[in-house]
Amino acid sequence: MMPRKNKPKRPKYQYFAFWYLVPTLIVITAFHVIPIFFSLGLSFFSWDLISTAKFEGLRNFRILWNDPLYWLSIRNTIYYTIVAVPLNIILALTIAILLNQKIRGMDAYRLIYFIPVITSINAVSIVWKLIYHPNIGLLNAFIGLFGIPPQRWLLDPKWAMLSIIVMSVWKGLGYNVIIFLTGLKNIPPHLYEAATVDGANRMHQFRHITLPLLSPVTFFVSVMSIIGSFQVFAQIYMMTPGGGPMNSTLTIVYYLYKVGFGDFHFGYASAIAFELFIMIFLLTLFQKLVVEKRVHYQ
Amino acid sequence: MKSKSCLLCVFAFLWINFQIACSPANAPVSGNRIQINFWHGMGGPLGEVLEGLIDEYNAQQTRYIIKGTSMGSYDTLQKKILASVVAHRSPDISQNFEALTLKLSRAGKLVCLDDLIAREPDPDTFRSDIIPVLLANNLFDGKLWSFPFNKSVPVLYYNKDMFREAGLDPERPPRTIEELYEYARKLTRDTNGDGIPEIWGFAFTLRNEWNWGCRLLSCRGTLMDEDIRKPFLDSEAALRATRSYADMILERTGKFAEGYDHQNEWLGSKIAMFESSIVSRVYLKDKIKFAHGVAPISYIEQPAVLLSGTNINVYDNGSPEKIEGAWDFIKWFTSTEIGARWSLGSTYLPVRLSSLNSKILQDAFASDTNIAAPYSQVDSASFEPRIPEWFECRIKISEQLEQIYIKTAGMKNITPDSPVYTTMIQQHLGNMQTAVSFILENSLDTP
Repeated sequence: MMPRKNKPKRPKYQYFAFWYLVPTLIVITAFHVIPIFFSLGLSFFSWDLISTAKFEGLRNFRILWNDPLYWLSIRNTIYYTIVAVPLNIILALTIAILLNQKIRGMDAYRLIYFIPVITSINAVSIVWKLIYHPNIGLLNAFIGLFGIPPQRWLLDPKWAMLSIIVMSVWKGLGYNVIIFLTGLKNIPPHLYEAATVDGANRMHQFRHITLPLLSPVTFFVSVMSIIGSFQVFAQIYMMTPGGGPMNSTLTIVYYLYKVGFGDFHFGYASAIAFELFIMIFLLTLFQKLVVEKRVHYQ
Repeated sequence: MKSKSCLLCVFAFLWINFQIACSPANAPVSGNRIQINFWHGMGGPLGEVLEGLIDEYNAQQTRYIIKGTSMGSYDTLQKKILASVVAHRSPDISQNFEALTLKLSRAGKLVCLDDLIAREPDPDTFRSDIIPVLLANNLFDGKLWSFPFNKSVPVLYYNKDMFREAGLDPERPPRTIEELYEYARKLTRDTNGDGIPEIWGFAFTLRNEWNWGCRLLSCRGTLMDEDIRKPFLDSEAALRATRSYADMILERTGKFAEGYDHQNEWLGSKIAMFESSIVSRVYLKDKIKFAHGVAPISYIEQPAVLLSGTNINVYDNGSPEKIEGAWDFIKWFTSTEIGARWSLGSTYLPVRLSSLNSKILQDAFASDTNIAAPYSQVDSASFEPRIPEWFECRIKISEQLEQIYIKTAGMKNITPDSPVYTTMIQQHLGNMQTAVSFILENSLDTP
């Protein structure tokens, strides 16, 4: 008879811990998991909430591919991402480096940069809408000091998206600053000391120590920022209702919202959501497989 | 023991949430009165007028109690109604646009008001007292699925002081489009000669498909055919309607503004005239610091206005008592005297001819000449196409108009008879026609 193998006894708390997770799991399942699969299924139907949903196969996707507004919304979203994300990262890194000094009142500076992050996007949008106002806006008053004629910032297709980008970068800067600051604090000081001894100047140190060792943080920030940029909505809704002049600020999520909650084509809106999911997924996969190879983990 | 307590707390939390989720949204009976839930989109001063009348109704009878809930805007109201219908928790009555009424009636969610009118002592008199265009607006396939509630018309607001300064008669506002052009030219001021006027003769909102539609009808055009399947948006009438606004932009005598900016500029005497809904008067009246006038909008060939606003629906929630209560309130609210008071307080058109001819309104017309402008346009009023896709079509119209106005504003050294200018407008009207046709042919709505 084979000797009975003594299996390590699992502690009871492992099972019990599951019950602590139940409320969260219910919320996540009810408001995330089920809607995701429901939305995916809905993309093959036409449904206006009231009538019975009708199976349409791939019709929504076929219409989508021939919908000029959908392609315009993708173009606008890519434009937003290409400008806003690098701008945000460069500014956030610069400010984080400046805030990583030992000077008086540093906590106050950090707080100032973080305040926009915790301020309601709706309130911020209203304030910025006033700043951009063509007649009474602060921005036109400011550029007027230099003899520049007033601009119709949110009314001009040329400026509308850029105006939204500037506001969005300002709003989201503080979050990335904090992330970069944390990354900077984790770089061992002895590396800089050794580099100084070897005669490296500040620029060399930044290029060969700071940037490589910050790369995991930069990678994280860029992934999150790109995902966030593809989902930009609230500021568009608040500042340029309707998608801006000549649809110049019509982004994918805003278009999805318009189609779903404006025209009540929930099947079509779900198809847009599904395409957006695929886009973000592929982009993140690309970053994971290609860009992450350049990341230096300590 | 501690673990059991925690587990108990978790279950208690879940149970409480379950109970809240399953509890009825609104108690059907308040005390011994039947509660009627009325969802509306009225906020600000209009909401105050409405709530005041609801309170009055609640005080003057003891059987029903109306619980008015403002959703803040029509947009939110529409979303809440759809969600409530899906959740089988719809209100008892609500404001609705025609497109949603059509969907809800087809889905069997509404009470047909013909059945309720039939129970009135004199149904024919009851029905014939409703202003004809409002009655027609609420008939779907010959049946009354909604009741007129708050319909407004566009009007022309003007600054009488600026009229005087420009040598114009403040008591004789422009009636025809030619007069509007002429007045705007006289009122526009470019004091520093930089080509950008400091004072503009005329202004309108950038997305002005409503006013544009009125102009189109005023030159005997039509938005769609009778079956509402074929649009006529690239017609000669559409071109004239578009040019009636764009020409003023080109001449720098008129300009467009985002949202309600032009109204603020008018309050600041930077604009002499603007077109907007009569309802704007409710929001503007306490802020106007100059002598002002309100007149019917200018027309191209014949006076024409499109109605805007919502009607009221009664939901079939399975309670005959609630339906009775809802109908009782609607009858009271749209009765001759209350309807006239509602109209006077909100500027919306009254529902009944008897309200229009009532002493309350007639006395008001006599005391303030600005009050009469919307009512004088009732005879030339019609309504927009009532199809579920209409709001999508409106957006397409508005998008193309927006492009025309923005491009026109950017044109320099171009005269209104320039082929470049006319071709640009025709191209966009062609796009408008294509986009709206596409919506109608490829409706995403569930059949």
